[in-house]
Amino acid sequence: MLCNNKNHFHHEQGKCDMTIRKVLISLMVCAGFYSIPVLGQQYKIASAGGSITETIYALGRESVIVAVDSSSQYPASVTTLPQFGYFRQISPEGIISTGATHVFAAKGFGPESAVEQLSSLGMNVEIFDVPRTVPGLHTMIRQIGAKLDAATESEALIASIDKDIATIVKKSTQSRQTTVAFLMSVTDHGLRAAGQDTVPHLIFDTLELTNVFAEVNGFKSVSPETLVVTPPELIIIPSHQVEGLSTSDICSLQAMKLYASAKGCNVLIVDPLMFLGMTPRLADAMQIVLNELK
Amino acid sequence: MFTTQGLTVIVKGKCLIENVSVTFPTGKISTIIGANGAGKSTLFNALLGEYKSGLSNVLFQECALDRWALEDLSKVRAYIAQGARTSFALSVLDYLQISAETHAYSKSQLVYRIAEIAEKTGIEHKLSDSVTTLSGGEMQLVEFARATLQLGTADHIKNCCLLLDEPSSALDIKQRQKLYHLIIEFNKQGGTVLIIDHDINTVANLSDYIVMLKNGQVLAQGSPERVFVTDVLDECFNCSGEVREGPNRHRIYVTTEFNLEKDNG
Amino acid sequence: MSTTATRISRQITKHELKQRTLLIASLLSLPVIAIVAISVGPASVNLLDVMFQKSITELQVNIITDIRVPRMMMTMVTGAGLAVSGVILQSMFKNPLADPGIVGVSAGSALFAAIGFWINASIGFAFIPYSLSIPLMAFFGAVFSIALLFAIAGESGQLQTNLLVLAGVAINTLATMLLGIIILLVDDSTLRQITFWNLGSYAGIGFTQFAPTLLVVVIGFFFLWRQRRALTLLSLGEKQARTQGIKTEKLKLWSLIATAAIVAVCVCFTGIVGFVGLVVPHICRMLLTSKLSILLPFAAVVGGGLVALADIAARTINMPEELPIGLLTSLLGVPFFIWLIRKQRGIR
Repeated sequence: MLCNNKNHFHHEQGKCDMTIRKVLISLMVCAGFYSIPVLGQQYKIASAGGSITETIYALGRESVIVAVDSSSQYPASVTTLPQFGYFRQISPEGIISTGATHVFAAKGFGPESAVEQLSSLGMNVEIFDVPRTVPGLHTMIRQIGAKLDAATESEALIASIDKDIATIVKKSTQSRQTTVAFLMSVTDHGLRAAGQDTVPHLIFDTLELTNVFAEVNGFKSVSPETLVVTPPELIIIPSHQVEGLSTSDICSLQAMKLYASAKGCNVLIVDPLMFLGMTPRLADAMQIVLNELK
Repeated sequence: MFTTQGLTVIVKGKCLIENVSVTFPTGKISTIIGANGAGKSTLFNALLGEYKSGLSNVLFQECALDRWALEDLSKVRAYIAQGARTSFALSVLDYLQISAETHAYSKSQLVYRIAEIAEKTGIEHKLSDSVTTLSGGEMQLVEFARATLQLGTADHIKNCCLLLDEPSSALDIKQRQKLYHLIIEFNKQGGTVLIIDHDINTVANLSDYIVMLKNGQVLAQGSPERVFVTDVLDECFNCSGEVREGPNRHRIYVTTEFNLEKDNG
Repeated sequence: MSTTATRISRQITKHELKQRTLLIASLLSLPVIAIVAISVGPASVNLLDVMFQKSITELQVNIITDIRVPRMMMTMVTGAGLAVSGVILQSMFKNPLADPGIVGVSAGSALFAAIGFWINASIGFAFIPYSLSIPLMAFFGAVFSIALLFAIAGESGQLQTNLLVLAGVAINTLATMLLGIIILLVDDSTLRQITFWNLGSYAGIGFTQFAPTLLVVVIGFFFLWRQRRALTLLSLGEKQARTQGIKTEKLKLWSLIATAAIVAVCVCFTGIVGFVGLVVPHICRMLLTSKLSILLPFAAVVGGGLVALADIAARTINMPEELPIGLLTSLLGVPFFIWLIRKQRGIR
């Protein structure tokens, strides 16, 4: 009973907020500009998940963010915000203590019992699916935009992402003959490669390149022999996996040695957020791959 | 006190003892002797009720083991295992206290009983030590004290039986003497004693009754005069020796098969 | 005669005084730890505010009552439960290295929890609410591994201790292998959920999780407490215990079931908090005695206190982030444990 009452109460308040905001916003649209600080007073968002945080920034709504999780590392200015731990392992009190009114989180936000506790304490938790497709990215941007009254901005953002991707793909001189691979980890214990349903695969597929590990699903351990049998033109490795190693160090690892001696040390080390999260920087990631292939 | 009637123990298809019928007389010290693998420990375990199939073939005080309640049995029958050891630190006092709890003693009675037995066994200065730090000899004395406490006060000792599995194996000469004296004293108060021991020359002399096993069967049983003779011992241990008269008119068995004198020439 | 008797009663009095003092001291520390646990946290609200300050929001009260109180209670109950099950398993297996891991209970629940995450990520559970699915799976995992243990090591109602240990090894290996297969099958995000579950966490514990845990731990503890003498004798040797009137087979069966139930509820909501089941019993054995009438309550109090303390540290060291609790139980307990070992070595 108590719980129901509480929810009811917040619901009512939310409705009220919406009306006020609508009035204010329509006034401001008339004036030809958005006043973000007004919005910020209504929404205080704890953003959980690198993709969510980047999207909010890309929509120009960064002032509503009061805290982020530890996977939110871009843009650089987010690192000055309070952090509340990794988005899959949060503590309800940690998030409440940031003063947030809303949590915008990527799917996987948890543990589930902690999320339920957050909701029961009156926190508005919005969870966004982060599918690994371009239409999925559109949906996520639109959903976040809708929640932040940034429908125009989200359409503009989507259009610019699509345009950038189209331009990059059009300019590309590569074909399906060009083989590439993304290695999530490279150690003496073996390789873990990105297959279907991963952001790197999406990037390769959109650029019409061939992922040599397209047969696997997700990030899986793979045999180093594949690198010798079908040597990719380019191997991409996220920077957090190579701490302190140079490209030549990587190529001298047992798993990479044969490949490097046959094909040369074609290794590119990249920003993990850009290549592993579904972010508005998808087109930038594609450009980086193409630049390296030229 | 203990009687087995045609007791056969088969474990994993292997016959360990076969058709054993023996009677251990009440109020006496009995010894089970035999070569290694003759079935001494199996017989002991059967007497302790470790084999479910043999429970009805073992009678304790004329009543088959499967009709005894375990708790009642524990008040009249105590067992001292070979080289008993524990991994957990308990003080000797705690160790004795827990065993004495079979009987409903008041606290002052308990203290009195423990004091009495500790003095008798000579462990009164070890009471605050942990049982994990004792030497083999000290532990054996503590075990004896523990078993006596388990059985209760002297007035009903004549209903009680104490089983000792190779009690002297870890002891030096002095400690053995001490232990054997304790056993004899227990017996003098009316208690029945069953012992397995490899030191046959000592046990044979303090026993009233000997059960001799070979290959899981009873080779001979009876008083030492009847059993402790050259031919029987030769057959039991599969060697050739002779029974001689030792000090204090004790009879000892000496093997003559091997010449163990070192030839330095 | 009388001198020894006097000495013994003096020794008993001295021991009882020491045991009672330590037990009462540790018991008294619990309310202190509880108050600290309720008072600290990333949200700036503490007990005094709630009790005396009038200008307090509903949210602040809720933080105390809905988050901190059940969480503090859960740490104490699971800490006590894990420590007690460690004590019992060590006594039963006559092995000082035994802990809830040895019979495969933890591995079994970890495997089933992983299967639960996998099902949630693919087809989803019908009829079971999402938040209940993982605890239920973990609980069944614990129960299942115990059943398997009996199936492997039990023969017509008998449990051979050495076979139990080997069966535990087999179940652990089997569960770890199957967990490896699950890890290969699941996607990246499920893999991370599994990893975090295995680290253990008290975030998100409310009264709904606390109530069943308390119930099972209390019932289990009560049963084991009643068997304290029999279990002490069992720890000294099985055959010996039987000759002292203990029905060891029945005792082992029921104690194992009680222990498994305690471990199952203690890990199913919070994941595996390592170290407590192994080291807390030893700390208590070294400080006092292995006599279960003292050791059981003492280990329960020390285990509960240690986990509660570790959770305070986990929540506050790097606010508002949380550190894995297993890390902190070890951090707090191991130095003390090493000191005790050194001290023991000096005595001998």
